Amino acid sequence: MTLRALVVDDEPVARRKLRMLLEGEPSVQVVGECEDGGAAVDAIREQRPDVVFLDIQMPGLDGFDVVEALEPDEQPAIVFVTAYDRYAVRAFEIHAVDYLLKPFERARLRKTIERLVSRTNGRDAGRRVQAAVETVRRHQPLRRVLVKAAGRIYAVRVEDVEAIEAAGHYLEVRTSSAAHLIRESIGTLAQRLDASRFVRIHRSTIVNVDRIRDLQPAFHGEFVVTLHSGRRLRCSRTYAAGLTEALGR
Amino acid sequence: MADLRSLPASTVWLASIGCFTALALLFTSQVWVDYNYAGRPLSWGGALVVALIEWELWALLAPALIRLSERVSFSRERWKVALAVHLPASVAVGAAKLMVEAFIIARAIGPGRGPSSSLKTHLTLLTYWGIVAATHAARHYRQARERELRAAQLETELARAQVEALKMQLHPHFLFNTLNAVSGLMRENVETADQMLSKLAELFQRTFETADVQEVPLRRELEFIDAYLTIQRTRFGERLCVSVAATPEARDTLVPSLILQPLVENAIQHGVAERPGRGRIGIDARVASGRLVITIANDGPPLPPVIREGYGLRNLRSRLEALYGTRAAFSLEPRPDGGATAVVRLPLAYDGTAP
Repeated sequence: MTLRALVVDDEPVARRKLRMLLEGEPSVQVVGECEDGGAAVDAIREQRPDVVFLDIQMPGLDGFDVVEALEPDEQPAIVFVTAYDRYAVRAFEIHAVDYLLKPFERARLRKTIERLVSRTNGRDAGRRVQAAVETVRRHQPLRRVLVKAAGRIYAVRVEDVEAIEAAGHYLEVRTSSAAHLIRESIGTLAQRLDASRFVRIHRSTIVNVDRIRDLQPAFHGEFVVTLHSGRRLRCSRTYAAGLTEALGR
Repeated sequence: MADLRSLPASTVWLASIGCFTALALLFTSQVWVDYNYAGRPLSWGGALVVALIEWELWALLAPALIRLSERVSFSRERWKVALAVHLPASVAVGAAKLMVEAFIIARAIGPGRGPSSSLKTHLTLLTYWGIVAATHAARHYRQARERELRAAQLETELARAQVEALKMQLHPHFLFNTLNAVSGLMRENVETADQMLSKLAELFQRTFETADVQEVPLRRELEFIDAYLTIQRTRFGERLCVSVAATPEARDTLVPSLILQPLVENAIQHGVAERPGRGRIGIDARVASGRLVITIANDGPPLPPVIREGYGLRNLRSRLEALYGTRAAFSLEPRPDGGATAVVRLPLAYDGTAP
């Protein structure tokens, strides 16, 4: 059996190294290379590789974003490739997920391939990869919001987000120039965001405090929040104390 | 010692009164002896009253005299001016003080001949110059302390900058990705792999060399950055496009050591590493209107309205402040077509070997 492999890394030298080593393995066939996470998601859907060698630190979507973007049935075997990252490596160990630490040698790569070929990694590998990614995510505030739109997937950096507002079953993630719809609950998202930057100001609104231009008191202990973009939001009484505290920091 | 000018007036007055009351107590027996020798016996109580009158008048005068001495001080350049002010002032203040003093003493213990007036004149002049000398000494001490403090602060900031530079080199993503690139290059191009290793070594060597050097010619900083950029260009390939332009005059100018590293690192982080596709970094240094102007531009995403400055930038700001005060400036500005420009403006200075 031949493993069809996809190589994903933003550094060309790193991709060439993996390709060169993998092409020396008779059981592996490299079907493609991608230099960022967005391209990787597309390539995985199109090429349906058996295994993806996935760099973690990448511009746009990172390696973890790629895993989150894929539906469970689309997910190939994943081998994370990373420079040392304490939390991630611990999570991989806990969930018995395959990974390669840079710089790695041929012998180490060969072991990983042997495991993949003999399928000793078990059936629930996909689920364990998801669990490892969730574990890592819990340790760090969200840095990008993933937006899936019309078959395309892209990331919005949280520092570019000025506010997040509930809109029916969706959330509207607003930057100064655009609005993106995502399917997520406002409570879950609020928990994953950096609390020193993002503050809940209403049952249905989260604001980026760095984007606030001024606050004006309104009736009943409420505030009108004006953003640098000119947009106005309402801060309800329940959340007013939290907002003034966050601005005072 | 605190700066007298920064102390509240009431504190200066209290200190002055305390000081001269102590002197009055010390001189009471002297007054008693002087009056007895002059053939005008005084009680101990009378002697104390006279001594208090003599010295508390100084307490009244002292704050003004201290202020005058602070303003017209005996420095190497201005001692002639100081002499021209304080010589007549000491005579005038002394004479006026003696007259007022004689008047008050006469009212307190009755009219009559006192002790020799030449002795009193000497003591009065001596006290005036004593106050001037004490002010001068205090000022000298204060300046020495300030210099020491500033030197210590500069040393701390340099040490921090060095730690930051080492952190950049030891940062797992930089170090291990660089080593991984070397391991990849060894299989395809030994020369490039070799160059990568020597540039990595050079980064460490240059950081260790700056251990106690506050300022270096910009040339040296550019060499340091070149080693860093060579590594990054090899890693990122066509994704990273860098241009460096520096005039010969700018290259000779002294700049704080390790000043470019955090700025270039930031430019790469925000301009290239965090977004897909190509990124450009432009480094430019030139002399303009009597200052060295260094700009580091990237064409990454636009700056947010509020910038959360990291440790590297805060360290850079405080080093500029400690080394040059208001003569240096740093700003981070958005570029009209996206991305950001960091601008450092420094006063012109050259070391002995440069033209």
